[in-house]
Amino acid sequence: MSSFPGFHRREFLRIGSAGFAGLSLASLLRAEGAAGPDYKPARAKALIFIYLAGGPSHHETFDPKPLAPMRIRGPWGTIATSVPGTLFGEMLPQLAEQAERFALLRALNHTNGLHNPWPVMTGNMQQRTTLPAAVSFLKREGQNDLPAFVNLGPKLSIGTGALGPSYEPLEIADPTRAHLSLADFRLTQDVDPDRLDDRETLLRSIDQLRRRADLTASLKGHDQMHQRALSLLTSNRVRDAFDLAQEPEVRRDRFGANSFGQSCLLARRLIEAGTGCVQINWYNREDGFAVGWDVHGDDQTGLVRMEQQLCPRFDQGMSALLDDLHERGMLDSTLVIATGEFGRTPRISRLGGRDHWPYCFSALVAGGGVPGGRVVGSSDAQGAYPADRPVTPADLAATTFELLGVNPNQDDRLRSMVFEGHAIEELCG
Amino acid sequence: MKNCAGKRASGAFFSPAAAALALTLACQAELGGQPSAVTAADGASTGVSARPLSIVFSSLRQRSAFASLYLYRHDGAGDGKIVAEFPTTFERGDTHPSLTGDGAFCLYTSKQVGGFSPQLVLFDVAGRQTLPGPTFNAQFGARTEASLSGRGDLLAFCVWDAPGQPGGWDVMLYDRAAASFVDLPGLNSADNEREVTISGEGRFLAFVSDRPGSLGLSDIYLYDRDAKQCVPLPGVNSPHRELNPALSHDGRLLAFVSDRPGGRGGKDVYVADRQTGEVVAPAGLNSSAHEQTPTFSPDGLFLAFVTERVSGAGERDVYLYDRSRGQLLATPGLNSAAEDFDPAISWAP
Repeated sequence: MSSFPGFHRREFLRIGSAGFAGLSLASLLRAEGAAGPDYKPARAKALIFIYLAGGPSHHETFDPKPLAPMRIRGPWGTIATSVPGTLFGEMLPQLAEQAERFALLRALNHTNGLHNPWPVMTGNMQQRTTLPAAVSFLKREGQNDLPAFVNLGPKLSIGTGALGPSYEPLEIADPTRAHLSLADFRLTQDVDPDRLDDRETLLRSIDQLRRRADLTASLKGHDQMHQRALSLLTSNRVRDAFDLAQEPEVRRDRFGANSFGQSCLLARRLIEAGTGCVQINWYNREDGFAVGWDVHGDDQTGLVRMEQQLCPRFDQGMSALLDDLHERGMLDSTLVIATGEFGRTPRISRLGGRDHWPYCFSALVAGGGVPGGRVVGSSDAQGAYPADRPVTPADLAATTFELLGVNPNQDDRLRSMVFEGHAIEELCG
Repeated sequence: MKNCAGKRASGAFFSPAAAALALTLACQAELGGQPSAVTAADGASTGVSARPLSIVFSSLRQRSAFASLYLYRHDGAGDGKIVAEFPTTFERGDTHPSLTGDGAFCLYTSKQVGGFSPQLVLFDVAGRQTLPGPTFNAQFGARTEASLSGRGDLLAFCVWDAPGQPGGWDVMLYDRAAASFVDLPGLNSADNEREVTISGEGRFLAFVSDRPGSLGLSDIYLYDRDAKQCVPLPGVNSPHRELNPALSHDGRLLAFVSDRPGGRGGKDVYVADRQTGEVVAPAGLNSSAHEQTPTFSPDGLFLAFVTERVSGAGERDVYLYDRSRGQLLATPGLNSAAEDFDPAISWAP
């Protein structure tokens, strides 16, 4: 049975077989969805979903196998964490110190071994609406003029899906410099997109437009998208939320002087200001090669990018985000999820890298009422398959909906996200 | 030519022409690679380098997926510019350069996308041409982190899970003139030995290992080829991570990275003086951001390293530090908004 009211697959099959010929699936679902929510109240108010494109190696991060043979355990050791008995890969020392603040899923699994965000971002291979988009749509929250949904980093091949473009996130390709662009700005004729090429110009444009808007009513009558853009452009709060320069340099350094780290900092600022959902996509390469965590050993031999680039940035940015949310009292109300599309092969290849492996990998889940320090599930001795308590992306989706207090079965277009998913009890309490 | 007598230009691993060229190369590099300004007790002199420096580094500034190598000429004081881009090919990443003492030749790792084995490439910096590589390049497998001795006659690198080796990452040392591998008794283990670097005069090999008996996590070891064993490194290792070793020409100074407590934040650069036993974080070098992959100039006066600071030009940037003055040097035009990393530093040829 689904975790969510309004759709019980077994029950539907029973009803169908009983001969409700005149009742379409859609109308049935609509009727059930309209029956009213009886799900649990929200424990989280906001969501930060971090998509680690390329697929991080679980062996080198959250599920090391120190007793396995060399070709499986890899070249790095393990580090003790703040949770007794839980070990991480040694390249995550700062997260190890904060392990009591987040939970781990160590037996997340599916069967799609291609670089494809669908399984983990939607719960299954049929759905085209991502979890953050669905949450944003269902919560419909964006306070204080802030956009309800912001995407930081490269745009994925999937997004709002059947919900349509009206619910697309505000896209910011790179919060660090040069490429900051708010898509909605292009809808107004008052601003030349060419002037928005860099962050400083963008912020100046916001100031200028706001001043003009104060003096004229000519902007009245624009359609909804224009109005949305206008509210974004003319809001001090919006301007301030997006302005990372307001952060002291030491804090910006603490998050890491890279796209991921600054995205984490911007995500915190946006959630703090009133945005309901932020998705961070680990940066891709523009020409399609060497995607983020995809450490086959193709571009640099072996796993060297794990050591010099990927793990330090993830460890620094992620730990800074959790630390900052905690210090500001925001962690309890902000659900943070970090996972890739899959893990990596248990056995290191002849090139010293690891290839794709969706059959067992890890995810980090923090805040939003999730008990910290909890490890749900385990992999086998080689990190190849679940040994205990396997969970699926649909389970992760169901858990997310439950913690955020939204019911995907309210809308026909979102029901398949938790078609066979069950909220993970260990995380939902 | 000094110390060149008896060198054998064998074609066992190189073509005859390449071997002859290699012999010439080694002799030239040996002369150019002599330390020129070592005056202070720890090898640091007090004046500005009288010789311009070469910094070769990897960058993603032109190809976002594949690193290319660039040659930057620095005056040793605060000015410089990029003077060359190494030739490369489509869908090939070039990383981890290492220079001879005179800066005339560069060895680096080159990886063609796909299942191709990484190649160790030797490049004639002055002549702007790629030289024939060692024939072991044809063997399938992973090899990387190549390091040249000052004269360019010895070539250290790491191999993954290679036949005949104990397992994991292992250190290999190749004598280019003899065209044969050099025995390193007691160096490799069934655990990992990686991130190897060779001292300029070729006696010492520093590397990272997780072998039993370490203080914890990744530790640094120093192998003395004369003693045929690892020698102690008091104060270098800790229960935390020690990585990215770099040696001065004579092996007296060891630069490395550690995330031990007490630093500025993240990974910091430290320098150990094996003669005095001091291990210090060079004043003004580290920041709250990560610092990594330091490398010495031949005289030990300069350190090039990678850091990732908000105040920098891009994500990873290459910085240059003057040990004699205890300060960072300006490197105009060196870094880009993209990733700049893996520096090697030597005299400008």
